[in-house]
Amino acid sequence: MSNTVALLGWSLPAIESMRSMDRPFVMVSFADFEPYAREHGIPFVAWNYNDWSERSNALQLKERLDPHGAELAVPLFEETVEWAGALNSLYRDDPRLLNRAYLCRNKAIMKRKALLAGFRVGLFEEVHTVEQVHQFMKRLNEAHLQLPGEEDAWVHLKPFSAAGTVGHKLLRSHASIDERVIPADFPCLVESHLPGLEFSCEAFIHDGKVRFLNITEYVKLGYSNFVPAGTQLEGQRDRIRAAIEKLARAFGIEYGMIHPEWFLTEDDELSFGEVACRIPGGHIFELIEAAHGFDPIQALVLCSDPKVTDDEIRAFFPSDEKTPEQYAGSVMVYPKPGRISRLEVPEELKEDPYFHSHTLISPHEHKVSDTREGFGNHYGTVFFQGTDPDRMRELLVHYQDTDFFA
Amino acid sequence: MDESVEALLEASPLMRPELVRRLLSQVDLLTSTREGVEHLYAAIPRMVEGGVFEDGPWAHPGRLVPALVAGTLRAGGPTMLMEILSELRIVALAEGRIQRPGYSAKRARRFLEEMMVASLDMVLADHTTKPDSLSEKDGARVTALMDFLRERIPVRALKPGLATEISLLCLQRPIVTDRALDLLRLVRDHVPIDDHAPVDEGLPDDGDPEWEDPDPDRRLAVYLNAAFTPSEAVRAHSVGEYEAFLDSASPSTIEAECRALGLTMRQTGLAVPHHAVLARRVASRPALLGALLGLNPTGEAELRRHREFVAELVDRAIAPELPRGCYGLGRLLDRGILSQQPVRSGLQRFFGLELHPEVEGAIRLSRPDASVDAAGLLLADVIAVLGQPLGVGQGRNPTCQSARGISLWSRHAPGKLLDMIRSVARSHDLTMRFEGDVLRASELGLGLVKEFDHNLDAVSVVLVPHLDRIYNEMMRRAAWRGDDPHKWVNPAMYGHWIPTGFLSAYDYATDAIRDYEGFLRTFYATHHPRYNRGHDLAYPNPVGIFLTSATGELIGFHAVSILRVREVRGSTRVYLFNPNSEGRQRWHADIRPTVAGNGERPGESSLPFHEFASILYAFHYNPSDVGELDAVDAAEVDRVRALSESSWGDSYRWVTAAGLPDATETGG
Repeated sequence: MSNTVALLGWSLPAIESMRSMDRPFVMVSFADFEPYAREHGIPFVAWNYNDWSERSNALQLKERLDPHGAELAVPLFEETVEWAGALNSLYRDDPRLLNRAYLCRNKAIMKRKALLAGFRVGLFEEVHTVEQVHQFMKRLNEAHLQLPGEEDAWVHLKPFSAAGTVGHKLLRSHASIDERVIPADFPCLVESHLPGLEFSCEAFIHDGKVRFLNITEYVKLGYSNFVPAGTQLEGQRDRIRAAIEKLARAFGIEYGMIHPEWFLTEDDELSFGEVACRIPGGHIFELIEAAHGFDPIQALVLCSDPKVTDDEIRAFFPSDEKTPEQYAGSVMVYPKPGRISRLEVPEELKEDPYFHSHTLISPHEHKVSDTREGFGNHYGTVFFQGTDPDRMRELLVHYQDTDFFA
Repeated sequence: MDESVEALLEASPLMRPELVRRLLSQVDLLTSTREGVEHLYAAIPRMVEGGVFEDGPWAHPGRLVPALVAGTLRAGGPTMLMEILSELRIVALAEGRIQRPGYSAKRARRFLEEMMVASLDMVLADHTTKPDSLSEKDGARVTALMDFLRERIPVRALKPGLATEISLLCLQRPIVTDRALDLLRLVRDHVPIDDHAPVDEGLPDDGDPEWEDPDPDRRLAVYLNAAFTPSEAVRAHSVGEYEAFLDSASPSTIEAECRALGLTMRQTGLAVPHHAVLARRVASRPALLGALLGLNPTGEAELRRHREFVAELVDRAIAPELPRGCYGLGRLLDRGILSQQPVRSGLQRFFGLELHPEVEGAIRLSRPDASVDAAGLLLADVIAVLGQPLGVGQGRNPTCQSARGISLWSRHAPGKLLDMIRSVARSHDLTMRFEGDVLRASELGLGLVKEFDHNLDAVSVVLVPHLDRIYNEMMRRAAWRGDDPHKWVNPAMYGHWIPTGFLSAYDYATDAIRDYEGFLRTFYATHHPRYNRGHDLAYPNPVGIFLTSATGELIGFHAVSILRVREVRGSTRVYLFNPNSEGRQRWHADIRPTVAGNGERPGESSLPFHEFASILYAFHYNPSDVGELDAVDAAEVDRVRALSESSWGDSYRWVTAAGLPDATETGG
């Protein structure tokens, strides 16, 4: 049995993890990466994920993977989720696997599915024109019993299928709809703003059971988060676990990892945001490794494989019932709009006992645009480690607003 | 940090860049204290083992350039941190704590010495005086590193290197002498010199100077004297006091001052504020002014002939704040060009010239501290450019073409040059003709310069931005003609004395090296005295060369001029004007032009003929002067070709004359 795993996407940490896992693998990504892969002896199949046609579909991809003995596909990035779904449908002869992948790729469908399963979700709608966005906001305002002069209700606009914050626009007024929404945004999803503490879960599921549940506390979406979550969220772990199990059941997820985002209000109401089936952004996997001490990419591969035994799974994961001693957090740094020339890392940061390391780069002098897609390219990340979640949160709040560039 | 070093040791090369970046962030804090640097030094062997330096610019210590360290340290951020670690690695190599094949401890030590000489301001900065342009924290980092280095290599050990560096700088007689003077100031303030050592007669002003005097103290003393104490009176009096001293001095004292100051300036090319004070004092007394300016017989005759005009030049252009005009004026007289009517009237037209506000601003920017009016600063450097055509430099600007032009015109068309400077100074615009059209710089797109380095002579500051645009426009118009655009641009840009024959090794149509042998033979048959019937060059030849890194990879193209070809000690050498890096630019691991010791005149650099031929890619020649192509020694052609192939040749496809791929070259 070759049990080769095909990793869809390109990720050096994933390659590194696979190499130390002692399991055959093949990377499937754009041809641009081929020379590098060849140079470093990385098994590789070139594939253009953007081309889906008669001559470029999962059947052809499977043929290309067969010589490598692939029996399992694991998506690394959002855009490869349905390709993995299609391949696994073939490998396991279960056409519904592809549908489940699609479920994770369309935010409107997934929300409807969650609503049907009994989760609390925000009000949402699929829209095709600017006018429909105005209408949506108007109906929300009506529901909030808006009086003349009061602010409009907040509306989030998101593409149906994009990772994380890409294409996400927060519209705070009718005026901002006219200002920021462009024809290229449509069709897309609009939804009401969900209040509360935002967090994500990384639930490793094998044979339909949640084998390890990590809770990541978002300090600011797209900027900073830490693992494990602080006491308020960890105090709700049992409820959260129950919600995850319900979600996995409803979505029919038996193998792999899911990365849902939730909101917890002050009165402990839990709302469903969205769910993804690929490696989460925001360095969450790195933080999991630093806090919990296992390699989450290896965990993802193990849990994605039905042939892996229960014992193997049990031996791999630590218990998630006990909160680990080390908290690990990160802040992604974006330069403020304007001209920047030089990296200036504050001394107090470097001297802070919670400071672990950073990956900030000194940019060549250039102008940072004040418009950006999603949250734009970040210029590196600051990593923290420490034992007190409240201090961690405080530091992340402080440094997410610090200007690291002069 | 030690944990991260261990993580690096475990990781495969794939994750190295990310891990190194994170390691650097932990190194950061340690670099700013002396104890931290010691800790890092202790960890260096493990870091080297973990591959911190792999895959990046620091991978091969043998390819690092000592003169670039200071600039890299100034870059700040992770670049600076890597550089600091790299220095610690070289210390570890020098002390034998780590070994590296091909990089001996001695070589490491020499690197550190050269690096410290080239970064003397950083080496000598203490906790109170941080080098310019560094933040307080980065200043602390530099101080911590340099403290560490100085403990191993004391400043007195740098004296031989400093003496050589300063001599080489001054021997080339650059117009802008700030770098040499800054170095000398640091040496005066921080390096003990044994000035009891008898000072030799000093340096002859041309030919092969005896700069290899084995005693570094004595060599430094010559320059220190020139810069600070050319006479006892200068030692005793500040510039202000010197005026009063001259007021009460006897005629014989003033004459002695003129001789003393004239001698040091002639020997070193260094003029100090006292030179200017004295020159103004004796401006209308040719005998004294002649002694002060250190004139040759031609210069003496010129001075006598144009005494009033020269006195006016001194009055308008020579000021203590920009004394370098004194040296330039002397050499201008020595060249005898004041007797050319276009030069004299060209200079006269600078008197009372009203500068365009933009031009005035640019000149001020290049000399922010001067209180003299901008027109005076410009005239002083006009004089210097005419006096020292080979002292023009491009600074940090990618404008070798423009610098080469200014130098060429100063030598061969000074009247035209003066006219260009004057019209730009008045109108902040320049027009030139190209193939029947008039090009107006102000109407053209940008040139090669993005951010202009103003640390240049005022003539370059005024002219280069406009020349750069015009050159770029000419190149644009001449592109896509199936041959190197310089074939058309050079004659239009520099002047019609550029011969019509033109040969390029690079074939634009096929993006390949075509008929390289024919190219080399033609170069030898037109330029090598053994094959061109012994002819000398009438005018400098603006040629193009391949610029390769120290490792031989092609970096790009560069413009220099061939000035002359001579036999020296049995080998034929090409003498060049290179406006870049004071002529000391390194062109390949083994191809390094010298600026002294091989018969160079001030401002020239030189290379053995065959080495120069190996990096040449385009030159002009007079078709009626081509000697016998077949006479050129085949072994010589093969030798040059082998050199080319080992450096830039790798970056190109080579084809034979027939235009078909040469099987031996491209068969693989």
